[in-house]
Amino acid sequence: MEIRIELARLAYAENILRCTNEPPEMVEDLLSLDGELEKARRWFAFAEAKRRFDPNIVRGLLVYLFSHYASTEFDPRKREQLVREITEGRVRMRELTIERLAGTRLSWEHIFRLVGRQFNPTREKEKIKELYAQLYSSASAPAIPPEVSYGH
Amino acid sequence: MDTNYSPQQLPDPDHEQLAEFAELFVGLKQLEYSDHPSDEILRAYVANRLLDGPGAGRVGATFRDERVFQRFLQGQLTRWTRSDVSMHVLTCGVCQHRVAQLRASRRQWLGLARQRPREEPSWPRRLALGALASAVTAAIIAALWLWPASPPMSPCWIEEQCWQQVVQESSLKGGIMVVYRASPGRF
Repeated sequence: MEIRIELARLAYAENILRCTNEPPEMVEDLLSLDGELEKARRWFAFAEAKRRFDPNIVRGLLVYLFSHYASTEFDPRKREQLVREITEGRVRMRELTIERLAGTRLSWEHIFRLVGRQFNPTREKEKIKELYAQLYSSASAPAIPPEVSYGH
Repeated sequence: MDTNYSPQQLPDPDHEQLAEFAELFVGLKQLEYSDHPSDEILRAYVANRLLDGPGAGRVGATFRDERVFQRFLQGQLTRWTRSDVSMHVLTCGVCQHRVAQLRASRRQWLGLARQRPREEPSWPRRLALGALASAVTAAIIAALWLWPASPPMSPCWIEEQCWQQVVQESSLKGGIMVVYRASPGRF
C-alpha cells in the first residue's frame, strides 16, 4: 500500500507540472494515508510556489527533478529523443510525464529552452525551500506554548 | 526581475543538482499488476492524446473521487488518465517495453513523413485547377449578378383568381373599373 501512496504523490507532482493539480488542501488527506505527510507537503510547496512565483520556472525545476531522480537508470536513447524534440521545439511542458522524463538526465540548458527563458535554479530552489519552511514550520510546531503565564 | 544571466551566473550542469529532493523518489520500484492499459490506451498516451481528466478545467481525475483514488491504489482502473498510465508504465516492466516499442514505431513513421518531400502538382494539373477555380468563381459572380433580375415566382396559379375587378359608378366620371389584389405579389 505504501508504494501505491508514493505513486499517488508522484502522480500529484506530475499534475503540478502539467497544471492539472487540485489545490493541496483538497488532497492532503489522500496523499498522506501512509503517514508520510512531510513528503506530501514537499510537493504541496511546489504547488503553492507555482501559485506565488513564476509558474513556468517552478515547472522547470520539476522537469529537472523528474529527469534526474525518477529513475536510477540512465536511458540514453530516451534522452536523445527528448532532447531532439526540445531542441526542435516539438514538446511542451504540459505534454511531459514523469515516465517520459525518467532517466533522461536533462541539462539546465534544456530546461531553459523548455521554460522559454533562463533563470537561476539555485535561487529558485531556495525560494521554494523558504516557502516550505514558511508554510509548514508553524504547522509542525505546537499551537500553544507549553507553559503559559496569565500573570494572575 | 532581471532574468538574463551571464554564463558566470548560470549554474554549471554539475553544480546545481537539487539532490535534496531526491528522497522524494526513494522507494520507487517495479510492481506486479493484474491489469494493464490496453494497446489503444498506450498508443493514445504515446501520442499525447490522453488527458488527465474530463471537463474544461482538466483537473487530474485521480484525486477528485475517492472511489477512483481507491482503484488507483489497488492498481485496478476502469478509466485511465495520463497520470495513471504514466505511473503504471513507470513501475511496470511489461508496459515499459511496450511503450518503448510504440515510441520507436511512432518515431519511425513520423521521420518518414518528414523526409518525404511534399508533392508539387505538375503544370497541366495546376492549369486545370486554375481553370476550374476561375469557372466556379465566374459562375458564382454570374449567379449573384442575375439573382435580383430573375422573375419572381407567380404567387398564384393561372386558374386562381389573383385580383378582383370592381366597377364603381361615379356621377361625375361615369363607371370606373378598380382592380384589387387578392393575394400579395406582382402581376
